[in-house]
Amino acid sequence: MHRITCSRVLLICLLGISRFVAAADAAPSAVKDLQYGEVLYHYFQQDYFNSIVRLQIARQQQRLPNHATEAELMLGGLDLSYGLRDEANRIFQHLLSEETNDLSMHNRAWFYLAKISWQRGDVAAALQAIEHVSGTMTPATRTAAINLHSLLLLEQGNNKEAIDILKNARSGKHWTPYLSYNLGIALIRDQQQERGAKQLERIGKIHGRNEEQRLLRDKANLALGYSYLQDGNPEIARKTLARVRLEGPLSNRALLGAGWADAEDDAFGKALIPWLELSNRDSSDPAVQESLLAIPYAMAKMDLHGRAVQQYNEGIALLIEERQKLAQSIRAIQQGGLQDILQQHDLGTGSGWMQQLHIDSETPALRYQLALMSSHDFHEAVKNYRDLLLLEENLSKWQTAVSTYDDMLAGRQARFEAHRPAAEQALQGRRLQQLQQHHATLAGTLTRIEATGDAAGLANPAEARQWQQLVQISERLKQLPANPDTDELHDKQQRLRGILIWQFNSDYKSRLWQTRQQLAELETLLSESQRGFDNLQQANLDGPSGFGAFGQRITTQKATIEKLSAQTANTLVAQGKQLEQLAINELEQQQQRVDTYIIQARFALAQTYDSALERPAGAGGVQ
Amino acid sequence: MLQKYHFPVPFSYWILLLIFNSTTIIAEPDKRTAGTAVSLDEEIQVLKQDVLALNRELFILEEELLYPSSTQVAVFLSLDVGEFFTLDSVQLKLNDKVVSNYLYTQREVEALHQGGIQRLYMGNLKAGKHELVAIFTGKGPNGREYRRGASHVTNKSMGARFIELKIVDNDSSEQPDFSIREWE
Repeated sequence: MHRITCSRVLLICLLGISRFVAAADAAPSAVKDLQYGEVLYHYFQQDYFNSIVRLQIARQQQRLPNHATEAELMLGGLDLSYGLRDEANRIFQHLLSEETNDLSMHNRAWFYLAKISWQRGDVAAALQAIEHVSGTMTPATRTAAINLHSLLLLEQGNNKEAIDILKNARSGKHWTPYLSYNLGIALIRDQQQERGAKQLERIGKIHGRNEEQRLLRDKANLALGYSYLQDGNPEIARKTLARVRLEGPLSNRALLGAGWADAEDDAFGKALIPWLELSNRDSSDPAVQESLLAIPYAMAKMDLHGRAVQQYNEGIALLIEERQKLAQSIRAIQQGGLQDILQQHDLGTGSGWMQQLHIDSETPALRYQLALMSSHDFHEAVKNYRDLLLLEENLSKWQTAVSTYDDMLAGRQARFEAHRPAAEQALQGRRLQQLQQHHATLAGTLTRIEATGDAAGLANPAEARQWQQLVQISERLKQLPANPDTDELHDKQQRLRGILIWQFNSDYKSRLWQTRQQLAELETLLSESQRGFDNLQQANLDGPSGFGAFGQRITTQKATIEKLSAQTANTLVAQGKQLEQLAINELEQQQQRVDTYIIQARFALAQTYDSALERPAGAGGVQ
Repeated sequence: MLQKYHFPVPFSYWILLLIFNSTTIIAEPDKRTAGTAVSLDEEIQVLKQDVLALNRELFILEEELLYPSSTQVAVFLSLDVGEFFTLDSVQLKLNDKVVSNYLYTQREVEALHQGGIQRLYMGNLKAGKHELVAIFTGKGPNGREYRRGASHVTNKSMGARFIELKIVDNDSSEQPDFSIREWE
């Protein structure tokens, strides 16, 4: 079974879009708030949904003090990437309405506004916005702005101004092969063939470091080749088209053009080489379909009428078969085949999903996916469909999670009630108050000791006992009659007292410092105890009402989930229908084109018969 | 051009039209929304915003209900490495109990390299001292298997605690450095 990856589809329809848009986003600044880094973690995975949710939560919880303005700008960019154009527009308008000197922020906001207008199809408004981008800016912003500006002017048919914008930008560091390509096309559209060709020649010969650049190179060579062909330079056209990779996504068109270049020189035999190669390729491609008619045409020109008739018949048969396949694909899509496949596909995370999408080209509903994906409307419709599937999945997960919250809340409430008597007892006791009073008394004593220099006040328990004993001895000695024995005892008491006082005084400063430290530690402990006490008191007061508030919030959110789930299901059905209709419209157009080819082939076949009949048998006539 | 041959197929004019007259000269395709799709597209925008708002409310509710700030602890991981370490997985232990085992995808590692910070774990801890141990495995210098641990003691107070595990290149030792930092 032949499988092709969607990367080819994306290469055709995106051609570096991510690079350009991302460049305008500009590299975020260094992370100064943890939660800002968390937003970036999702953003760098292109998971815009979770980036937005995390950013909104961090803002609500005031956890982005260092990235406030940047976060606003980022939110606008994320909204835009997630397809929320209206919300993004509101954010950028709001940012521009604020007075600020931040030119870089203004430039980026104007750029995004231009992009939004362009996406809405309002080229005039987009041009008005992009013209506000000015002054010094990062190379990435400048490149993105020039790119968009030139595209808008080209869309307006203002080729000359687009050329001026691109030429002015050419000397800067922000010049890229993409802008060069744009300039080449703009010049050719402005009838400046030679200059345009020079630009495209340069792109057509680049080395191509990655697939994106190689594809751009192919595109330049293809454009240039057809331009030469149109101007009547088949020789150069052939050489240019030969530079397009034979296995690349543009090779069919290049092979077709190469054949026409030979045909232009009346070298019909040579023209058959690329066309025959092309005719063996997937017949759903218009270039392949055209080759089915070009081959017999060339043969007829070479007077090989018999072979031409045979080729016409074979071509018609193939085109009829192709038409049947288209009808089969339309039926499969009408019967829901496309939606079934999309629903079965692993949604994964991030917007890289499309790149991972594998397409089974043999499945009727997906056979023309490659062509369909190059249609912007279909591409966007698939993206929206996938986003809706993700919303459905998200809501279903929350539905399960929230249903357990009631049990958790009940469990917490039960634990609260179990601890409540002990908590209330602790709250009613006066232990903490007594300790605080004791601390206050001690602090007062220390202040008095410090003020009066009462060194004995800082005595340790043993010293205090000794000091007390000496005081008592002194009192007793005073009551005894004076004689040599009492005098000796008195002297001894005085000596011991002196030793203690010396000890008090010598240790006074260190003891004072230590006591202060101990009191400070005690104060910290008492403060923490007070906080715990307050929390306990608050919890005791809030408990019942807090549980009630949580219960209320859970009930509200449950109802919201239910409502949004129903809305998502309905919108998914509508989006699915739209998706199918877009696919069917596109396939019906292809049917019409194939029908035209069939009519033309039949007409040409009749002409070939006529021509052959006019010639004698054996001279290329029909046998 | 091909008219001179009177060939029924116009000389691949559809290709020329595609190349030169398309509004999508390069890169960005025509992103304009089709007229018929506008109302549905707007409906989807409103729905997306409603679901985003719901997610915001539910994450906050979940945090308040399951991880109240008095006991909340959140562990984040960031990378600033390129040459000396490629991250494969992280095991996180709190007080000798494994609370998280995380195996990284290439996409996640790239997001970390670009400056993203991952919320690795969220849980509850009582006030007081707790030991956190993180074991990092991956490819070290010269592509060798690499396994290193880092530990940290956190003193949990009454407020929420945010801890960042940080892996950085150490140019002087040509080895990765693993550090743990607490955020206010």
